[in-house]
Amino acid sequence: MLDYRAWLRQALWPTAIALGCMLSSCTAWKQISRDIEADVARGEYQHAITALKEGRESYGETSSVLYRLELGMLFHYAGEYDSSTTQLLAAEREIEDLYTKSISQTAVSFVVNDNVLPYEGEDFEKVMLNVVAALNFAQLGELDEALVEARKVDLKLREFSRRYEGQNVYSEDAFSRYLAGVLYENAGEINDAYISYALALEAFRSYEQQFMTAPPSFLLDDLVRTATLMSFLEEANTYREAGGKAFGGEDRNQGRVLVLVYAGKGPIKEQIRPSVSIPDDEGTIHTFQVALPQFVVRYLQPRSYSVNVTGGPQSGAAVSTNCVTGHNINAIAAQSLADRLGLIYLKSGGRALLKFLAAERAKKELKRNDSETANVLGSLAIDILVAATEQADVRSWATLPAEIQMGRLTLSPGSYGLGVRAGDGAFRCELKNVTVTAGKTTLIIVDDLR
Amino acid sequence: MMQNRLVGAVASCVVLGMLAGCGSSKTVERVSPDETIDLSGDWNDTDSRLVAEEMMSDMLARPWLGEFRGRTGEQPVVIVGTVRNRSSEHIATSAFIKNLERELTNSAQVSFVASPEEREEIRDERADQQEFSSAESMKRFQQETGADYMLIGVITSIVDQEGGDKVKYYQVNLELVDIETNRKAWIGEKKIKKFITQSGTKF
Repeated sequence: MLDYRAWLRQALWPTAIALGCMLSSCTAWKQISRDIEADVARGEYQHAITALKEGRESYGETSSVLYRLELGMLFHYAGEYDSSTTQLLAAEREIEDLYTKSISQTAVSFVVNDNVLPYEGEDFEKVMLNVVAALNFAQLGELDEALVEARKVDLKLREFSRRYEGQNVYSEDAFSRYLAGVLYENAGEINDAYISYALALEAFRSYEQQFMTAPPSFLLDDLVRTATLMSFLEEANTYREAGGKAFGGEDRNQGRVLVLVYAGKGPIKEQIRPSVSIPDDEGTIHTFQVALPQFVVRYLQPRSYSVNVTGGPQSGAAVSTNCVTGHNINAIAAQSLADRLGLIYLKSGGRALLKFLAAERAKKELKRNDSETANVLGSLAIDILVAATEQADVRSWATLPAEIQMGRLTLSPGSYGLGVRAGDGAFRCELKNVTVTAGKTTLIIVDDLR
Repeated sequence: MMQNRLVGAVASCVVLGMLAGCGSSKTVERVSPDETIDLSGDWNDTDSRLVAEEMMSDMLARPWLGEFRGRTGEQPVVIVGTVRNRSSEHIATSAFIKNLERELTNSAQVSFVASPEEREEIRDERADQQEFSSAESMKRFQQETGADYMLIGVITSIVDQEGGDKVKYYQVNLELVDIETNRKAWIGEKKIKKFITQSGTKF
């Protein structure tokens, strides 16, 4: 006969102590994440970078990818594009290594929780890291390297399509397809640009229902332009009839400015604890809790942005445009998590049930103890241990913006001043010396992470 | 008693398992720069060196070289232009270009001139000499050797992936272009195929 009091002495307490240590380190990163949130909202990126670096230990080995993603994004916001790329590509390498799953860690995760597993990012985060790296290279004028990132995105999306064939899940990325089109066109690779724009249009059309992100009107213009340049006249006509502007003559001497506005704080994961009740053979109801992650939106009132020309060759013509949503990270994040929620439910439910049954058994055995105080304390300790170990994995790339808006202007070559304004009047940004080159798209990044 | 030990052992395994991912060890071993070490399956120093050696060896064995010498009685002067990276990974094309330059220079069959960036630095030095060097040691302007040919190229890749299996196919195309006539004197191609497998599990 198994002596459960001895079991408690020999196994439960050392395990509890070890778990306590583990859990404290598993959640310490959350505090760092909260600390830098205000810095990011104020645009004090250097302060946030310092705070994050000082808190490196809190992320440990299991959240190393998360640390690098956060640091890479902060460097990106701070305009330190080289450092940003270094972190993001290191995160990507670690994610690739994590394809090989550790059997021992996975086994432990079935007993403890998913926080003991290394964080490898949601699918959309894996794509987003290449998008940000591509923007880093583009900002540094390293177009070939930016295109390498665009090709990596293509490889990842192709892999997702194969993996999730026929399922209604995140497996395309309209914004990254569009950005790839812009980069290819800037590099003079018009055929590749045309294909990327066409893929972006297709993705935006499916996004319209899935993420409420309609195709931007200028995407049709881009398709008409690149199809015309490639002499794909039938395709050019199709897109023109769909609403794209005809391209020819003087249009060849025009350039474009694409303003990307990072708007609002991106979503974060939080834990919810739904209760599950099951009756036993005697009809007694036993209730236990499961811990599940869910994305919480922090950008509740979407803002509108406008871009207008404030100086340069066409300043008198009152040229302006309203921005449109290019990448709805809030919606994509929620979908990405929902795609694998079934598995999370199954694992958390199974784990919680196992823990519950083990706890009930242990409590029953404790009742044989003569000391009532010891019984109460022992039962309490078991409940605390069970509750403490059942924690949802709430790690996510929290420094991402809630959405990326796009504003596009077509201008004659020259140097311009641009103004970007938020519709709520709380944000205004003036940009000087924005160079527009014929046949190219100048990328401008603006952040309003309030 | 036996059961207690068993339970204790299982609990210990759980704790050890949790701690397993925390430790890391690093060893450093010096190896020859010529040794082939494939870790990730990405383009590496060995690819760069072998492709440069093979392609330059092929280029120097082709008829254009004899034809040029027969026509001018001199060695052709070559410059390496841009090698574009159109693959899906970051490749240090500057290192590859240096490998090409080394192969060409060491062959002693062609003369080689500095790249535009290097020329700028040398011109600055020459300009500096006009002011500060002695008349005997000062080097003159407008004595630079113009190149006869420019070597340009592109690296492309195709990746096919299924789970942990990956096939990487690299193709390096180099072209030697006559700077005066735009005629292509030589076209070379080198292909590399790698099969990379990554296990889905480890202990």
